[in-house]
Formats: sequence, C-alpha cells, structure tokens
Amino acid sequence: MNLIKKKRKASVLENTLVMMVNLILVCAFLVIIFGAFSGVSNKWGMRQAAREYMLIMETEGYLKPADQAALKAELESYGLYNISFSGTTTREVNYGDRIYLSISGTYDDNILSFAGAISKYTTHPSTITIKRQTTAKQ
Amino acid sequence: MEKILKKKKQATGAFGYLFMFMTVLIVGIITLYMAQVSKLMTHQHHVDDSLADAVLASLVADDVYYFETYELTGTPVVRFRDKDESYAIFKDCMNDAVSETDGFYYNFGFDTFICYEVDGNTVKATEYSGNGGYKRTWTARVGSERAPTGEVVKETSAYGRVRFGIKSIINGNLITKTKDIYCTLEINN
Repeated sequence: MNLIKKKRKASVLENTLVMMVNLILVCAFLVIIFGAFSGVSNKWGMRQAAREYMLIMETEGYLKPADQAALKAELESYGLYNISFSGTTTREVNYGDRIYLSISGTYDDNILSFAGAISKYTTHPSTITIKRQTTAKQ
Repeated sequence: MEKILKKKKQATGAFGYLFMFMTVLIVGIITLYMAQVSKLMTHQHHVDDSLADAVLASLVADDVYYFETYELTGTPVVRFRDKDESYAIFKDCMNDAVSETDGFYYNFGFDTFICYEVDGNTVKATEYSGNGGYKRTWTARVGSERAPTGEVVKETSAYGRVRFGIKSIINGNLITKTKDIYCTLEINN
C-alpha cells in the first residue's frame, strides 16, 4: 500500500478569505488616513478664514457684526460648532492700536475605532482655539 | 514492502498571507509618511503666513509726524511711531500664532527684528537681537544699506527672523529652521 501524504492545496475559500482580510485592512488604513487628511484640511481652512477676516479687520479697525456672521458661517462649513468670539475687538479703534481676533469652538475629529470584529466611526470632540492680533491700519 | 512516504506539510496559503502583510505594511508606511509630510507642509505655510502678518502688524507709522513734515517741507517722512512697541507687536503676534500649534515648534525663538527708517539720504536702523531683544542702532546712506534678505533699503521698512526646531519624520531628531521676511511701510501708495 502506498501511502503518500501531499500538501493540501489552498482552497478557493481560503484564498478568498485571505484576500478579503487584506482588503479590509487596506481599506481601514485608507479610511484612517483620509480622516486625518480631512482634519488637517479643515483646520487649515479655519486658519485661513481667520487670517482673511483679520486683514478685513485691519482696514475696518474692528470686526463688524456682518463680518462676524460671515466668518461664523465659514467656520461652520469647516465643521466647527459652539463658536465663540470672546476677546475679539468689536469696537473701532484708532490707527496703530492693537486689534484682536479670538475664536474658539468645538471640532469633531473622526476616528475609526474597532470594537471586537465591528469597526465604526466615532467622533472625538476637541476644542479649537485661534488667536490672532494685529494693528489697525484704517 | 510498504512504502510510507511522509513529506513536510507546507504552510497553506503562505504566499497569500505574505502578500497580505507586505501590502498592509507598505500601504501603512506610505500613508503615515504622507500624513506627516502634509502636516509638515501645512505648518511651514502657517509659520510663513504668521511671520508676514507679524511684521506687517509691526509697521505702524507716526501719522502725526508724517503730516507735519508734509506740511512743513512738502516731503512727508515715514517713521515708526514707537520702535519698541513695534518689536513688542511683532513678538506678540508671532507668539499668538504659534501658540495654537502646540507640540510642533520646539525652541521657538526670535533671532532678529530690524526697523529701518529712511529720512532723506539717511537710513537709521534699529536692531533687536535674541529673545531678550538686545538693542543696537546704526545709520547708513540710502543705497548702501541692505536688509539681510538682500534688498537695498530705500524706504522705511522692517525685517524679522524667527528660529525654531521641528521633529524629523525619519528619526525624531530636531531640525533647526529659520524663516525671515522683509516688508516695507508705505502710505497712500
């Protein structure tokens, strides 16, 4: 009796399973990274918005209510909420005097978390503070 | 005779597993590297913008003197209202801008801030060095004085340079960088 034990070839199911796990892991990485890029991009957008309105404040001497509303809307479009402008110069000052723009709000960083075999997006609220100062040039 | 041939059992799906781990490893390394590079570039732009804003904010002219000289001589002279205050504004603006990027800039410091005041053919320079703001002044003729960036000083202007360390993505060592900018103060141009 010839008893020859040969290596069992990987079944189609086994190979498919490996590839599926592979795809899931790669997708998870991509989701995490795109989430990180999105956060960086939004925070950069917020800073640029603050800079833009700081330049407007330079020529106006303060942050006008209409500009404040427009800035708030722009910041909200980047995902910031609970926005406060406490500490911002809201009354006109003389040429050369310091003017301040102080923004604080909450931003949800999206994080992919794993709970057992289930992955889900969770939000991690963080406080964003943008402080700028310059001098009035009006 | 009974032949019993036993062969070593090879790992099933070995190539598939190897491919999986290699792919995940490479994708992971590339994506993390890209994320770090994008963060680095974002902060580089941020410090460039902040420096420009800080020097521009420090350019506060003495408006009373400007109109006085214009009425008396016909040629207005642009000078700083208060050079010490301009230096303080420069530092405060930079500190405010950098404070929101906690954990990115290491050993942030102020190298130099120079105020150039042009009156006729004379340039009066006032330099503040280091974090302590050691002050020194000198005068030169217009055309002979150059800002550290290379521009010939022809108008009342300011120059600022900051120094900071950022962590290397590769090995975590601190890399010292400097950024500078030269801005002129112009009125009604």
